Amino acid sequence: MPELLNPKEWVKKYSDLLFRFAILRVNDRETAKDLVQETYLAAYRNIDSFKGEISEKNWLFLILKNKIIDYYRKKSNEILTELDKCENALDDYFDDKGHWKGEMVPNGWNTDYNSSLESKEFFEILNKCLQRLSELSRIVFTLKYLDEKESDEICKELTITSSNYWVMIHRAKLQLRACIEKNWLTK
Amino acid sequence: MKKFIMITCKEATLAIIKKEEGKISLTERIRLLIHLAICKFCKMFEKQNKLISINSIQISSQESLTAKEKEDLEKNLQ
Repeated sequence: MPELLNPKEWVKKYSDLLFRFAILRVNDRETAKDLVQETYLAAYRNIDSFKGEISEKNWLFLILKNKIIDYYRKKSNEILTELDKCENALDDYFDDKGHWKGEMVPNGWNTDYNSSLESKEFFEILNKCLQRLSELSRIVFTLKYLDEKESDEICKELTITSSNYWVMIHRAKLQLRACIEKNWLTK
Repeated sequence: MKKFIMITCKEATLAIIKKEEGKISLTERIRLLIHLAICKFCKMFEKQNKLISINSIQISSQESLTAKEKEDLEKNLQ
C-alpha cells in the first residue's frame, strides 16, 4: 500500500466533505450517503492502483465524481418523459405568441449585476431554488454551472442531444430567475 | 422581412443563454441585438441570467453527517 494513503482516517477526515459535494448534486440524503460509502469501498478495492500522482483527497473526489456520473446516467432514462414536461413548462413563462406572461415579467433586483455576490442570503436562496428544479434540469444545470463542464461533454455523459440540453438549461434558467425574484427580498 | 428579423421573448431568452456559451450563429446574434434594443424585459433577463451563471459556482451545502452515520460508514468498510 502506498504510504500516501491512510484508509483508517478516511471516514473521519473526508466524510463531510464528500457528503456535501454529493448531496448538492443528488439532492437526497440517503443517495448521497450511499455514494460516499461506495466511494470508500471502491477506493479500498483499488488501493493498489493509487500512484500518488494526486492527493488522497483529490483521488477520493475523483472516484465520487465518477459515481455521481454513473448515478446520473441511470437517471437519464427518465429524460423523455421529463422533456415532454419541459416543452409545456415554458408555457408558464410565455404566452402563445412568445411574449412574457404578465406575472412572469423580470423585475429589477436591487444589486450590482456584474459582480460576484457576497450575500449569504442570496446563496441560500439560490441553493433552495436549485433543489426545486425538476431532477434533470437540476442535473444539467449542476454539471454546467457548478462543475463547469462544456455542454458537449454533458450531452455525452447523459446521452442526450444538444437540443435536449438547450430545452433543459433554458427551462432551468427561467425557473431559477423567477424563484430568486420571488424569494430574494431586496432591501 | 419583419418575420425574418423579429424574434419572440421566448426565443430571445434562449438566444441569451446560447450566446453566453458562445453557441450562437451570426444571424441569431443580430436578431438578439435587435430584440434587446427594444425589449427591456429580456434586457433585464440577460443581466439576471448572467448573475446566476457567475455566482452558481459558489453554491455549497451546509449539511453534515451525524456521528451515527459516520459510524455506519466505518462499519461497512470492515
